[in-house]
Parts: sequence; C-alpha cells; structure tokens
Amino acid sequence: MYQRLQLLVLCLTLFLCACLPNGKRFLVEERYEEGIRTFQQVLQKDPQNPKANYYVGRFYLAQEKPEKALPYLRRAVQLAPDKADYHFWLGVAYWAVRDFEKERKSYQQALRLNKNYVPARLYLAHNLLDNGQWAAALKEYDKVLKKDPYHPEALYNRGLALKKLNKPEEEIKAWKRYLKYYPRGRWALRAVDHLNGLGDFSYRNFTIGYRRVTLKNISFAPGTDKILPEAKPSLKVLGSILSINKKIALKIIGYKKGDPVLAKARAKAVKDYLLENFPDIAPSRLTYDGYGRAERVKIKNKTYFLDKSISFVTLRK
Amino acid sequence: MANAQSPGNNDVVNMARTAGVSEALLNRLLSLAKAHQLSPADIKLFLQALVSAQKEKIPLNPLMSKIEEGLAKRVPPQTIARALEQEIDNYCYVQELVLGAISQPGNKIISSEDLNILVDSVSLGISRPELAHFIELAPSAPLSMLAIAVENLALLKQINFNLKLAEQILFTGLRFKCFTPSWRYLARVIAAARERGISDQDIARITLQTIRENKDFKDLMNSLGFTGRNLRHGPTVGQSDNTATTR
Repeated sequence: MYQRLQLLVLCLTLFLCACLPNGKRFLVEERYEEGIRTFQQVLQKDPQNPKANYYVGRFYLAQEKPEKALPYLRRAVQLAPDKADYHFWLGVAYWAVRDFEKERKSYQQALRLNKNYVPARLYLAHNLLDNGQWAAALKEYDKVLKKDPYHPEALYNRGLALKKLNKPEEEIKAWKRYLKYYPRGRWALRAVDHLNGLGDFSYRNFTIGYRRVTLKNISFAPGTDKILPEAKPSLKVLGSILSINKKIALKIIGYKKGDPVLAKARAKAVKDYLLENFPDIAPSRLTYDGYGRAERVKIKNKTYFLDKSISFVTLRK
Repeated sequence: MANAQSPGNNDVVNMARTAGVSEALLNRLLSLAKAHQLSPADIKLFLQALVSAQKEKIPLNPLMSKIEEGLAKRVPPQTIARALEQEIDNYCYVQELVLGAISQPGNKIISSEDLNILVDSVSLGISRPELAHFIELAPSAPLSMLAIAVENLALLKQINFNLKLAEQILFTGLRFKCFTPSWRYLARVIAAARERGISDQDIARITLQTIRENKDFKDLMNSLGFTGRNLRHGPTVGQSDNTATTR
C-alpha cells in the first residue's frame, strides 16, 4: 500500500514537472519575452512556484533588466533554498546591480550547497579579484582549474592575481599557461603585453596589416637557420593572414648578436617557409634583412635587448 | 475601512476617497494601523499626508512604503509624518523645477520613476540649489539621464569622492548623453574601485575617457579592472570575454 502511494506521488510529480513549460528551451533559444509571458501565467495560478519564479528572473536578467529579475530570483531562493543554481543566478543579478557584497554571499551559499559548482566558484573568484582580495581570488581560481584545467577566465585572471601579489615568476608561468591554450584574440594580446612587461618575450604581438597578432617566438635549432617545430603554428597564422589580405607587404628582420650572417639566414628561412607553405603569397611582398646585434624592444619605460629574435614590420597594408 | 477609526478619522477617510486615494491603499493603511496599534491621531496624520500628496498628484505607493518601513523600524509615527511632509515638499519642488526647465513640449511627459530618483537624491543629501544648478547646466539632457546623474552625485558625496571630479564626470556624461540605465550604478563601481586602491584622479580620468569615446558602462568597468559576467548563460568554456584588465 505504501509502495503504491509512493509510486502515485512520483507519477504526480513527474506529471506536474512535465506540465511546466521548458524554461531552459526559452533560454537557449533566447525567447525571453515569450518565456516571461509563459511563466507569468504559471505564477498567476501558482505564485509560490520556485521554478517559475526562477525562470522569470532568468529571462529578465538575460534582457539586462536586473531590477526586475531580483524579486523573482529572491523568491525562488526563498522557496527552494537548497537549489545551488538559484543562489548562483541571484548572485549574478546582484552583480548586475553592482551589489558586490550580496553577490559574493550568494555564490558562497551556492558553494555550501554544492562545492563542485564551478560557475559559482569562478564568479566568486572574479568577485574577490574585483574586491582586491588577490590571494583569496587566486585560491578560488586554482580550485576552478582543478575541476576544469583549461578554463580561460580562470587561467587569465590567475595571471592578474599573481601580478597584484607581486609574484613575477609565477605570473610569467601563468601567462604562458594561458597562451599555450589560447594564443589568439584580444586577451592573448593582453597576456602577451603582461608577459613582455616582465621581460619575457616567448610570445610577442606584431602589427600585421591593420591587425595586432600574437605570435610565438620564432625559434631555431642552435647555431642554424633551421626553424623548430614549435614555431610553425605561428608562421601558419602569419601565412594565413598574408594569404587573405593580399595587399600586405611585410619585412622580416632577423637579429643575432654578433652574427649578422646567421641573422639574415634566419630571416630568409622564415620567408622561404611562408612562400613554400602559402604559394599564393607573391614573393615580392616579403622582404628580409638581418642584423648582428640585439633587437631593442621598449616596453613602457624599460628597454630590453633580445640577443636573438625575428621581428615583422608591415611595409604596406 | 473598519476598526481603528474615530469620527474625526471617518471624515479624513472620506476626504481621502474623494481626493482619489484608492481603496486598496486605504486598506493597506488600515492593516498597518492594526499591526502596529496606531492611535486614531496617528492614522489621521498619515491620511492627511496621503491626501496632500494625492492633491499634488504625487505617487502614493512610495509614500506608503516609507510609512511601512518607518513603522517596521519603530520610528514614532509623528516623525514619519514629518518625513512624509518633507518628502511631499521635495517632490513638489522637484516637479516644478523639472517642468520649468524642460524646453521641448514633447518632453513634458515625466516618468514618475525618474522624479522619484530625483526626490530621493534630495533626501540623500543633494541640496535644492545643487539640483537646480544641475538642471540649469544640462537643460537638454533627458530626464532619465538627469536622474541617474543626480542620484550618482548624491552617492558619490556620501562616499566623499572628490566633489569637483564627480561633477566633472557627471556633467560630461550629461553633455555626451551617455547615462543609459546601466550607468545607474556608477557610484557603486567607483566605490569598489577605490577599495582596490585606484585614486579618485585615475577613476575620473578613465571615466571621462570612456564617456568622451562614447563607450558603454561595461567598457568603463573593464577599464577600471573589473571582471564581467555573462547574464544570459553564465561562464562558458572557450569564451574569454569575462577576463579583467589589470589596473
């Protein structure tokens, strides 16, 4: 008899759940206004429905109306205090109204309910970073990376936290780790700026045509002009840009302190590689030269001398 | 309305109904009176305030909320009534000021929300001459933007942000008409930036640059070194658009 009763309750619960509209679908399909209308109808009949309150809050938040979202998300949390994701999204809504303290408390509550909830831990880390609590932020980013070792936000902001903590060696490692997985885009450009600012030029930003591009240092086998495999992905990026924008004319400059012949040979090797792998690049678009001295690179108020390097200068865009 | 009434109050209640105070609001007041065991004299004070506000076409819900809040905090009803009087007076002043300053007939539609923000700013510490000065210097600014600017000025004054720099930021923002709703929380962000050790001068420099370059509030936060949040989907793997810049 008891088992039949349990089965009946289960069926009823499943039936009721099936009757609720699919909130996730509205979110995924970005049909926010429709979602609000649909779930408001549910709330008219059942104002204490936590899921309906949650979704209305989510839809308003997605429309960047956090003031409207907050009452619904607060109610959802009150009605279902054991739901970690309700607390998380309440935290996000608090962030949207720049109530950073309440934001933090919401994420902390989400994590008390589910310590493996990565989004809450990541945004908690962001909140701590924004609040200037660098060590605490770093700790949380490290916890995120234990669960998700490739998370770009955690990887990048880890570098920032280490910068603020004045730990240059660890900071360099952090930037390199970020660039290893995310060597393209505006955050890569910034990561390289940070890296170069610490005197590490294993990655550099060059202006190719109108674009700023991150390239890994073009490395060669010692004493030779043989390009090492790790340099090739960057050369392929360069070659692709030159293939797409046929107007760009580039000068490749080799530097090798005390050895102008090798410097020039290395620059030529880069040109040859590009022409070989990207036959639609007209040879006349690529010129090269070499110097038997260190390359001078100025970063803010400091000048660095790179004993061996390859540099790229756009001659025509 | 039943209970907590005296013959005198019946007259005031009828006057309130005649003036246009809704039955729902009157019942709300009755419930409060019962819950807080208000005397007939206190109820009369509140009713008179509501009637006065209704006659001036001032939204009553914010006033009711203030009554509720005051009673919940056990503020004496006479003190609440005095605060309501002041609020009504501020509201009339602001309304007059704004209507007088608006030059385009089309702009005579004034949102009560914006007016409430301006009135609250006066309560938060913006003096009437300051408010008048603001409106005078930015007469063509939309009311919603003016409200945002004044509210932020009130909050920035509270946190002792350099007043000259605050005014410079806000007047520039009004001139460039950049104060969309997301700028409402400028003061909170500035307060948080100061907590991180960014000087008022640097904050002002960055904010002014953002305004002059017609960038949005998210850009400002980014420039001040804040991280972002994805309001639609939360953090997603592979998107590094929520990273902070260093400051």
